[in-house]
Amino acid sequence: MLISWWHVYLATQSIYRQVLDMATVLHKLIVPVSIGPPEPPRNKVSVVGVGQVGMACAVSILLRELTDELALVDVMEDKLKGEMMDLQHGSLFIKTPKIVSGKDYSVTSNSRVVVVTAGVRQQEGETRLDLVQRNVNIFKHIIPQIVRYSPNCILIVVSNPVDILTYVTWKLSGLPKHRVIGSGTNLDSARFRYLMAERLGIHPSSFNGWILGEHGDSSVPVWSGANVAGVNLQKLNPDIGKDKDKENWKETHKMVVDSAYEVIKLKGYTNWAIGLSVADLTESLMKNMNRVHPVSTMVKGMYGVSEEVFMSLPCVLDSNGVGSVVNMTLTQDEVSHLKTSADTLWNIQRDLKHL
Amino acid sequence: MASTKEKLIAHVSTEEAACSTNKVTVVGVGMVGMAAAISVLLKDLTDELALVDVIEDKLKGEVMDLQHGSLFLKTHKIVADKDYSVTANSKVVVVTAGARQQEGESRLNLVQRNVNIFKFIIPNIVKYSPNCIILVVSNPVDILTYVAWKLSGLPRHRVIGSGTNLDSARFRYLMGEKLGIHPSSCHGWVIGEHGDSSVPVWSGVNVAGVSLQGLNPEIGTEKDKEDWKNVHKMVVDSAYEVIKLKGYTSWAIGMSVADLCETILKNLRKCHPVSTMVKGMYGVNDEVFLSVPCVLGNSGLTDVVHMTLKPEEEKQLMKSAETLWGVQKELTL
Repeated sequence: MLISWWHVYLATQSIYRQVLDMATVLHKLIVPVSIGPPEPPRNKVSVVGVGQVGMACAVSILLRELTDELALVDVMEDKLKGEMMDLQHGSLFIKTPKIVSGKDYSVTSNSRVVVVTAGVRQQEGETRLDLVQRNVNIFKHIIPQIVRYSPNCILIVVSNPVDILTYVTWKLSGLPKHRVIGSGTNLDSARFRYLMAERLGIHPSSFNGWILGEHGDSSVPVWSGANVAGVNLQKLNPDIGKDKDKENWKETHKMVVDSAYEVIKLKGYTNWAIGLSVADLTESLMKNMNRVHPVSTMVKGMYGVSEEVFMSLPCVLDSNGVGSVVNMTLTQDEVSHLKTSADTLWNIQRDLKHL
Repeated sequence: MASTKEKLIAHVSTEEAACSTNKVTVVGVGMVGMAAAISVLLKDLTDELALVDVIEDKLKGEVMDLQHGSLFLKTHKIVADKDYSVTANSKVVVVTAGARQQEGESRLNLVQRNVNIFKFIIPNIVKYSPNCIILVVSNPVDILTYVAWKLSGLPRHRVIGSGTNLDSARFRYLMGEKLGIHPSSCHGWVIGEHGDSSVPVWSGVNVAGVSLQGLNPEIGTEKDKEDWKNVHKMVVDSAYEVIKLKGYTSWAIGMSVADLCETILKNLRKCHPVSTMVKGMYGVNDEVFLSVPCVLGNSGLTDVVHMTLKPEEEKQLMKSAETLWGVQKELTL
């Protein structure tokens, strides 16, 4: 925007000056070869909400070189402008040539991916479910605007309680369900893999383990799938994940559930890990990778769930969003766990007003 | 009864686990320190990152948050402690600790507060990493780099101030906006004090080797109708503006620190405008640190590029040097 007005200014100036033979530096230095309006962005990402989580997502996406244009939106105008300027000042070091911001959603137009982090955050000791109605009211304002300016985008919902808010987003957006994703248990699984790998002395990426279901207290660790190099840990230790397990592997999942509360208690909020995990999802979407991620998707009809709830399952992500869902072979316990989460979520969702 | 781990994994190596080869320590886990940490991590520069601070809860929270992202990173070891033993064997130590500028406050005001903090930090760093390179970021950076140098007892090529690396990056960004070109193709050097009296070297400003001063001899002067001088003014005002809007600056300085770390750790021998001891150059007679273009590599700051400056530009540098020396000589180290 700034550049095109500058060019208009320079164009009129340069005509004037050419007459008086006083061309500008820009005019003397650069000869335009292609005339016409600039191309629209091909890989634009918008981040709604410039709090700690939003900015961690923004910086991770920038440093991973995933986008040619980044837009930031928030209601706090000073903070928004300051954050945009701070990122712009780092332009020399990154490969995203256009960073814009505004209170008005028009800055987000033509986004391929929109990351929604807006909303109030968990206070110390507060559960994610407590936040619900507060954030629904905010979303009623945000979501329709996003879709208005980027009708073909994929929405990644991060704000908590993420599973419910992904449902809310889906309802408010009118988009097909494969284009609305909740960051879900992508982060829980990352934490799980980190903690398990630490115990085994290997890199997290070499430990395969999935946490599904609700992003929160009732998430489900799929012990039957945990493996290293294809070697199934449950076969080596049939008690794994159970209370009677002498090695107490179940503790690792408990640590995952407690993680967020612990970090919040220590530093007031969490941001780096969730930022990195969102950038990871964005990469799969942008690059049409068909990678499998545990993200929150509409699960009605699966595992005996009869309501329209969103929970995390292993989803194949491509440039259209959720291409397909992997059918996990779950134990009866794990299935009933998921069903319980679905019921809890639905009990809250059906009381939500103004959808 | 063998444990799950023993059944899964057989240990074969007879050597002890290898030491880190590229360790980076960040002292201070405030906004700047953490921005530097995440930038270093996302650029895959290091195999071990250590964080140090005095506020133990905040420190533990930050290190846990980073560790939870390990799946997405290539830095296997992320550690933190109040005790400096956790920083042992670092190649680069980034010092961001200290008080920060309040809205409207100049960097020079922070001096004595930060000197006292450094008296504790610097000797501890050197104790555990006697061969490291110290990269000072805390403000006022030029004075604090001098302080760090004095307190560390390290040779001058191993104590570097982040200096005008960021000012130059901002200048190139603004220049790029004015010309419609990416900052990396716009060349311009801002040297001297990282602060209100930094010096934009207009004679060197170019795109593809074409000197802008050659096209516009008045560039940077009051008479310049295109008011390029304002570009430099915006650079000087940048930090104050961002602080006014969001309370502090973090991302740009974090990225610029990671940029310097990359050059050092990968031994690239790139030129960066960073703060170094300039006694004997440009008529400076005191032991002050100012930013000039320096060649950086894995042994630190090995060479300085000699810029041909105009008399006014040299005068400005000398004046900065005098101001800085005026403050430095009053310090109790």
